[in-house]
Amino acid sequence: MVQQPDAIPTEETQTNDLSWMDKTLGWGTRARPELNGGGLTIDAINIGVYADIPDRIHYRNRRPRGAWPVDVGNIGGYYLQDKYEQWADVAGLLYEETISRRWSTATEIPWESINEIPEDIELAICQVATELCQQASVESEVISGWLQNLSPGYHEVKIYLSTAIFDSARMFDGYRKRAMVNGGGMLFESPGKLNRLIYESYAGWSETVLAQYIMRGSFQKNILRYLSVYGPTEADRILAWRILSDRTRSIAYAVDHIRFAISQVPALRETLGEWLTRVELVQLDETRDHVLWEALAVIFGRGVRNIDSGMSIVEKLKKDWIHDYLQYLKTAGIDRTNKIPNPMQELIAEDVGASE
Amino acid sequence: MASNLERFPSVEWFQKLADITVEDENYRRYGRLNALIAFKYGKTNISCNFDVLDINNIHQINDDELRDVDVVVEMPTNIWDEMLENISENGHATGEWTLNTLDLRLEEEIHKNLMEDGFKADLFFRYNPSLQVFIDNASKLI
Repeated sequence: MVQQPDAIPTEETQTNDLSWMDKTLGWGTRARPELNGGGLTIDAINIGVYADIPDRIHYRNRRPRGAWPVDVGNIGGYYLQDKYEQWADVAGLLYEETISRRWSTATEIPWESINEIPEDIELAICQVATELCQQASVESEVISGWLQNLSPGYHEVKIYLSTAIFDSARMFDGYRKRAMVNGGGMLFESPGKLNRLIYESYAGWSETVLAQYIMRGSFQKNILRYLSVYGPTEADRILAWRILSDRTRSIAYAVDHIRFAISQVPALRETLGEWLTRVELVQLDETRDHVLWEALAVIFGRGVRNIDSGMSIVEKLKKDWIHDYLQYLKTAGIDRTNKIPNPMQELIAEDVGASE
Repeated sequence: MASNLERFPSVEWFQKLADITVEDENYRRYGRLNALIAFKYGKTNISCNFDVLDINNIHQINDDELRDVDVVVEMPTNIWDEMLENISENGHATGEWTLNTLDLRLEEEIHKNLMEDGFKADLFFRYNPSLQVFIDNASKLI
């Protein structure tokens, strides 16, 4: 079909409104890159009127902070409108850091170093990989689910969390690849009790942060830390070592967020403490499952025949985990030293040493 | 041949290490970092500011000032010596001699924040790949 040429524009259609051109709150703002190679960072553009990060975002819609408002009213989502509910001063830096320190499990792990290792150790590392995959998958889904509830007025937090989801995806892909690379594959699904609690922690974002990043984060941090030293192959050690860096970044957001929240609303110290009691009991219940601990003991002891010596290293790992958990909370403003359940108290009271 | 001033653990030694490291592509590929880290060897404390991709403000500090840094890296002097010997022999730390491994294997962790700030102490892990390149570059000095 032959197209007819467009009608010649009339004078009326050529008239442009252009009234949008004076709808700016900060015309003339010129952000500058940071020194020392940091470039133009998300924090560096918080200047002039755009440096004002209010304690509450009074609209519940998609307006970017500092944009000229259009009266569209509130829309679904964006229920967290207060800064204390989501903010962390370090979020912008963590966002830039995650991107700057990006890496690939495909090309930066010496997968070729995984030669034939004894079957019991391969089974054990695949069991650990299966559980870490599952935890990472839960993390991606839970954090993604929260994003629409966080206000776009605090974009530093939202964009940091988008990179945190990428980090959890990398943990998933790294450990799935590990399970698949040497004949083992996926093994036994974890009991998933803490998974369920994290999924159900919709009482508040801070509650999710505590369960996902402080409790589970400190747990994973220590598993990764020990795997980075006791992993059976170079690939296992490097994979854990690199993911350990990623893991401590999300813990940093969590500590800084909880610290900020409590500094703004001191009563949260008590209410979040009550939530932690539940988190600790569920985590404790999950740690009664022997599968993960046995798998780690087989790895650390270099085989089933040395599982006892491996288990003494596992006991040290548990002690380090509880120590880290308490220290993160203390740094954030919550002292749980004398409030954690008895079995956790006993772990840090005992002088457990690795049998190396 | 390094002069006495440039010998570990002097300010001059760390400055040379920093000069080499900031030009090192292997260091830069690990990305930006922000941390004030002190290296403690016996009674000598050297503070280094890891500032994005630069390393600056390298100077000696006293024990009281260690409280102001994010992370103190401390280990027995014989372990420092053996670690640097391993790095010298291999061009980088091998197996048991990496910062991460020493931190876990030694009776006392080699990293700490003196104010027991978990956020700051964790910078050791957050930036460990970068810090390892920094220390490994000692192979170019010794």
